[in-house]
Amino acid sequence: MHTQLTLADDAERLDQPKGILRWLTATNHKDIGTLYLCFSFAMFLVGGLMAMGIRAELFQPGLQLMRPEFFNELTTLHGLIMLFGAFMPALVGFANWQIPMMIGAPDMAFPRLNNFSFWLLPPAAILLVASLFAPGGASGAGWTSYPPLSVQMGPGMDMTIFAIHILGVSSIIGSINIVTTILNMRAPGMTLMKMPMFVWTWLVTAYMIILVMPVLAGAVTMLLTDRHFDTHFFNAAGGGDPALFQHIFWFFGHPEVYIIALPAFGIISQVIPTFARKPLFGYLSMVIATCAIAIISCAVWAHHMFTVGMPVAGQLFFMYTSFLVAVPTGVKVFSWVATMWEGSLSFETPMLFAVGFLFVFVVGGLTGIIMAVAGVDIQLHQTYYIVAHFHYVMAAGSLFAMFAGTYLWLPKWTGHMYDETLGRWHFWLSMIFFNMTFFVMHFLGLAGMPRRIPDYPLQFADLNMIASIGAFGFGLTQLLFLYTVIKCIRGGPKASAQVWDSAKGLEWTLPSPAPHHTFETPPVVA
Amino acid sequence: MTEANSTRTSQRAASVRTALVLAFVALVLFGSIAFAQSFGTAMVGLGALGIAFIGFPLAALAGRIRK
Repeated sequence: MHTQLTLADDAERLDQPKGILRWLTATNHKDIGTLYLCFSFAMFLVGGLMAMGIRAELFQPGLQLMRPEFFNELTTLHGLIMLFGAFMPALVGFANWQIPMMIGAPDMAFPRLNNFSFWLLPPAAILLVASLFAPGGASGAGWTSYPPLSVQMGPGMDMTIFAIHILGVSSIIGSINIVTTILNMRAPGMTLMKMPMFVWTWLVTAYMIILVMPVLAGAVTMLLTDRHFDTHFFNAAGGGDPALFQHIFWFFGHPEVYIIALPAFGIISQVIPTFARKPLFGYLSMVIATCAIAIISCAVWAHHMFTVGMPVAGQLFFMYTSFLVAVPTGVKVFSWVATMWEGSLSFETPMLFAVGFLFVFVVGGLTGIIMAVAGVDIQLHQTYYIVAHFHYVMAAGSLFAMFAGTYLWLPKWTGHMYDETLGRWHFWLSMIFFNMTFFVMHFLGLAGMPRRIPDYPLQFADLNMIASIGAFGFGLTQLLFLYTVIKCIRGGPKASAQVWDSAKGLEWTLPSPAPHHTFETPPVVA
Repeated sequence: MTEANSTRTSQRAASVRTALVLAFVALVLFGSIAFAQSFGTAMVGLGALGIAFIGFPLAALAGRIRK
């Protein structure tokens, strides 16, 4: 790939506002990317603290630390904060930093809109967390907010609904910006089929967000009108249907899994070729698989509702479509393994996390196929087996990919190499403690332990104690990650432009750290 | 310099067009959910979804023709 670059002088940055004003008025994609990443990590710690509270309560049987209502509030907020406050913004942060640099664009298509979509997040986060102090407490209806429970709750539920609205608007605006940037701002010669896989996965993900986020917004708006304006969308007594909410919610909810997973796949597709020193195996099939996952994921939603009751034909349809989504996902896993096959592998921290991702994601994927069987799902529904499954897929799957991406691009962002020893410690401790926490939950679920309960029979005590110790270890390990990143920002060995010897792409043609303004004159991609 | 400005202007116009179409898709989806339920017919919902899905490529094509 031949490029002709003209880099703007970084001194221009001196004209920018300083201090807090710089961040409030930021329109540069790198600044906004940094804001997203910092915000998401702060929310990750808040959501993580809630998880610690949950695991502390479950450390042994009996009610130890909190009222059952507060336990439900914690599980609800933990889910919402992790999904909407931590994971999605973090991936948008990666998109902001990397997409313009990867496609040779000077910035995002709408820089001011980009600023607006970020600054919508803090008020939403405050609404969510502050709902804990509302009369009656925060929403305890679970992150799914199923009626009739969610219709009956106190003002904390309204705060949650408004927070979801704001977060949804932010996501939609951000996605419109991303799609527009990718479609219209690519450098000459950067055709769609030359785009890095990370950009491809974000293009598809942003479309998915635009299609499903309004559906969630519609569902919670109907919930709001049921609560306050005497409508009966979900009220059976008024001719409504509570199951309708579940259908609408999961039409958003299942694609949401892939909204978080696809950009993570994109990061892994950047990391593995770099450390296998080979081009990505089956680029075209990876692109097709990404699109196929997006399309099929919109037709599997009712596999979350097998226990609600549906005709056999419906069960069979959603069972088979759920199996079907494993095919393109399998294509991706095959391509990653084939990329590594006979490669000149080295295992720096990003690659360790990428391989770790493959392990945890495949475990989560396999348990997903098991639960796609309608008959099995009826047994396992609402048990800790489900908790184990979705934490393997969404929590560790995406989180490990994001750690891999952070260590891959951190030298480009900061201009310094991170401490490799600390990075390796971070990986191994995360891997051990994560599996210690969640692997045992499969057995708890198979033994019948229901989820979303603060107390449990004595027979589940030992495995819960192991899970809680693992959770505390996993939580503390993330402080090591924070320390490693801060240490890297403050100093360390100077990173070259080509940080990794076999890394490919336009971003590696830029100096490290990447100047404030890049590609003002578009590079030419041969 | 003039050529660069002209390229940026046309790029900006294309970006605004794309963004408006995407915003339209999002708004139609948001409105159609409650609208379909209020009127109690699945056909309204399906119709709205159809407009959203088919409308986008049509609008995008129309944009190309204008260029």
